[in-house]
Amino acid sequence: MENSLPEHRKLRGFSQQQLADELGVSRQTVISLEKGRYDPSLPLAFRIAKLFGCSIEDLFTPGED
Amino acid sequence: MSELTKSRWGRMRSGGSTRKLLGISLGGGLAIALALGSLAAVLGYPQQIPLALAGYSISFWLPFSALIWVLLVDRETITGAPKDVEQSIESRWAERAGAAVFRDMLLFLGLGAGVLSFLQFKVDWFLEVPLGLAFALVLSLLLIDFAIRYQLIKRTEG
Repeated sequence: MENSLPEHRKLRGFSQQQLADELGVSRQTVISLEKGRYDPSLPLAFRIAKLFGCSIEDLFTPGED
Repeated sequence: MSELTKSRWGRMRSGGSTRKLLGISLGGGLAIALALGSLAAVLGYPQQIPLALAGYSISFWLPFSALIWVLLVDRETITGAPKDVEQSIESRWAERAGAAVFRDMLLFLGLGAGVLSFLQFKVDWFLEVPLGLAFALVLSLLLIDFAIRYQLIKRTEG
C-alpha cells in the first residue's frame, strides 16, 4: 500500500516523534508506515485521517499488485 | 498527564513517585526472593543452607523485582512508551516472532519425538535429566529463538 503520510506530516510541521506521540504509537511505527512497510489497522488509519483532516483514501492508496 | 511526570522507570499506578516504585519493587523482590530461597534451600539442600539460600535469593531477586514493577507501574508515565502498544509495529513483530517460535516448537518437538522413539528401538540410550532442568532448558531455547526471530524481523522490516 502506498501513502502520502510524509507529505501530510511535513505540511503540518510534525516531526516523526511528534506524530507518533499524537497517534499514541512508537516512532518506529511512523517510520515503517511512511516507508510503506507497515499497513495500519483500520482504527489507526482513521486516527491518522482525523488528525490530518482528510479521508483515508487521501492518505492511503492500494499499491500495484 | 503532563510530560513532566514521565520518567525512565515510570511512576506508580496509585500515584507514587519513581523512587517509591523502585523501592517497593526492589524491596518486595528481595523479600520474595529470600522467602522462596529459604524454602528451596531447606527443602533441597539442607546440608548447605547458607550457600543455597544465597544462590536462590540472588537468582530470584531481579526477576521478582521486575514482576512487581510490571504490576505496579503506570505505563503512561514511562518516557517514550507508546500509549497504544497494540497499534505499534513492535506488537506486530512480536506476534509474528511468537508465531514463528510456535512453528519451531512443533517442528522441534515433532522431530525430536520421532527421532527419539526410533532410537529407542535401535539404541538402548536414555538420559537421566531432572525434569525441572529439562523444562528450563526448553524454555531458554524458546526465549532465545523468540529474541532471534524478533531481531531478524526488525532488521528486515524496520
